[in-house]
Amino acid sequence: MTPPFPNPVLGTPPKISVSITEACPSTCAHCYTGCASAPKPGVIAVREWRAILDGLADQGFIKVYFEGEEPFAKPGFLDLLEATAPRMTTLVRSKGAGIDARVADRLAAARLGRLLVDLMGEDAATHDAAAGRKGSFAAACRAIALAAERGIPADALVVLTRASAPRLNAILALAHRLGAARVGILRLYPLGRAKAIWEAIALPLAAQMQALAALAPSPGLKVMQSWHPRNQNCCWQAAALDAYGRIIGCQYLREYVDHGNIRDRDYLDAWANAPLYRMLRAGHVEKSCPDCAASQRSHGGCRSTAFAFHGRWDAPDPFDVTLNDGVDLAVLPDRLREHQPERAAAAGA
Amino acid sequence: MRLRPVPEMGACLAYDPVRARLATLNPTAWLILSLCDGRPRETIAEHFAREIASLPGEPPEPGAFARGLARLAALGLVTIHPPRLDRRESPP
Repeated sequence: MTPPFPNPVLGTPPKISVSITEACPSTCAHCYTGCASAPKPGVIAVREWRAILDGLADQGFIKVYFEGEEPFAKPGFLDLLEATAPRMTTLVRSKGAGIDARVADRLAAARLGRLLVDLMGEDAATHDAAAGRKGSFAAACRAIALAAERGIPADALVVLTRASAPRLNAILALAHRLGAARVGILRLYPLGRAKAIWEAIALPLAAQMQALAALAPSPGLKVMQSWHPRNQNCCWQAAALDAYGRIIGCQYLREYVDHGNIRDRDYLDAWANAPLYRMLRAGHVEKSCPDCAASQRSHGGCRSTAFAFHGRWDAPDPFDVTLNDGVDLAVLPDRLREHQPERAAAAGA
Repeated sequence: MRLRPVPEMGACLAYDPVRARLATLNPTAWLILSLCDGRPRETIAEHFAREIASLPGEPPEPGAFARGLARLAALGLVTIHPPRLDRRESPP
């Protein structure tokens, strides 16, 4: 194939990811946000989120994925969910904190579209140690089970690390027993606190692929993963807001981009006119994996990891075995050790 | 029900907040859904055939209307009433 390799073209995005808070009762060592137990100043309040989401629905958004750190740590989040669900299909990613039977009943009544819960181990000792909070494993398991009992589709999510890799099948089995229909194996991104402990938690690509190849899910449990040959460059359709209202396109780009703030910039204006956003959506990349391109209809793989490891937006994604070019994913690039999460607006403006 | 056309992808997203379900409709299903406005099934089928005939490209396979309508009903996006003197298909 001859570059440039364009992505599909989407006039306006139909779905959006919203990081609703940077508060969380857990203290995961690999937290991408550096969350804290108390709400951080400057984050958008629920009342304001409601107006923002109404406006997004008016603009044609039909799906919203709430994540956190822990959405249920935000007072009023359930009310927001109940107000949003009539207009947009809602998904929530959670660690399960605060989801008891009463909350699960409200989620069912609100017609939550899907609950996604992080599992960091197959037992309390492993999970609680990773989450930095005793009782977090029980909360995560309870959340999946309560959702499944009420007919709310429930997924488990696992970040692939040195610690989770040997436990993946046990975690899959646990998720299946709890009633999860799907498990998503997620990449470890060099963001937030993960950077400080990267060499202790990150796996080389070969080990990651070995772990994925060894997966043996129970019949009926679907496993989702974004490595070769399912490596997608999804910037063409990605829309996201962080907890401060920054328009970032994708939660995994949070430390690299800033297309403006939803408080004073229309999302669709940023979509159409923010130079870096346009460039990322156009998807021009140096190399494309033919297998991933065929399965995902996009080229070059994830822009976040490409930029993280190469420092170029059109670089190949090193998480793809055909595009890795010898990059050791277990070693954090020096540029990221010094990188402060200031927004890279100037880089693309 | 809320519809969100995505013409650049040749699809339409259909959100049913009662069932909490978001369906992706291909062009055939999208056309059928748009025609289900309470008219009798035969009328809708005739209109569908006329619309399809006016479009370029390969025609859908035989039975596409019936299958498409059945899928929409299974998704809960349309309700097919039993045959009566005034048979109708209507959206919920």
